Amino acid sequence: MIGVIVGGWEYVIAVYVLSGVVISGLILWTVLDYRSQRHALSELEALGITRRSSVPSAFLSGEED
Amino acid sequence: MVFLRLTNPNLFLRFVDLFFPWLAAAAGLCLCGGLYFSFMSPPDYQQGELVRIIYVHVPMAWLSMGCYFLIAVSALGTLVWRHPLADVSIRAAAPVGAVFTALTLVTGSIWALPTWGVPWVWDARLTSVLILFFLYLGLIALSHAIEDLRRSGRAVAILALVGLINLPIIKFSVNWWSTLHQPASLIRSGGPSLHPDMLRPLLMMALGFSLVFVLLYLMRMRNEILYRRVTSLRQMQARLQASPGTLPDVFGEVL
Repeated sequence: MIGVIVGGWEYVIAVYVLSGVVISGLILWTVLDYRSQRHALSELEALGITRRSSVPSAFLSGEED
Repeated sequence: MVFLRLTNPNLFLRFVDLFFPWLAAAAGLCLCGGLYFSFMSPPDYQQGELVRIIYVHVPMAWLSMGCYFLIAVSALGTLVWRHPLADVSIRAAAPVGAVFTALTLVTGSIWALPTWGVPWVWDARLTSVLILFFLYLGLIALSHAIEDLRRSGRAVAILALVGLINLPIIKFSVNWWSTLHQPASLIRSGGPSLHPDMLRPLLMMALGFSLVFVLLYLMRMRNEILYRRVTSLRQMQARLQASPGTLPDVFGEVL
């Protein structure tokens, strides 16, 4: 005879909460990483280091450290 | 042709920015609907309320395998076409796949405890999924072990293709060997064996989690492109400071 499992809500809730927390954490980590990369890129651009643009004349002439 | 245009990193970044809010909204809607139907669906005649774990565990398992397939296709892109976005794709997908595989294993263990009496058995299905998890960790470790992006990209791509053999083993493990894990109940000859009341929330949750996966994958690809740009510009800055007046040769590395 096959028995029926009664209850078990604690396992169900544990699975849903754990998955929600882990995936939310992954999303948060990705968003924070994006902000950090954007910030680093902005800092470099503020120094005149940019992509595909001409290298700043100050750097070429050696006037700036 | 649209796909080919998106292989340009700048267009890809614009595409991500444009579709990001729509994808997030669609994922949220699907997950809310899926959660509602998950808790409204009837309990199983044998497993009772525990059957509701299927609505999280199975989509995670599908996505952990789907993510590895995506990595394998990207690996072909790295080795055959040598497209820089293919390597970006592998590095972006691997951590997401590792998390989804870890969730598959943990949610499965939580489900196994009240149904099997033990959280883990070394049967073919569980062991092959554990190997998939280790493959993801291997890909992540290897991608960080070699500094030169081109060399590490090729090594990671080769490992990804070798690991592809594990996917059919996972899928057919329940047919090839006698396992405690149940056989396929959805993708099988003869159609799904699930009742429509259970199939509806399962498919809805699967769609919701798939959208979350795509969202995370695109966000991480965007981060990886920005990381490469920052790294290249820092190298350029260092070379300019070391020898002012010379043009640096780093533009080829910038995405």
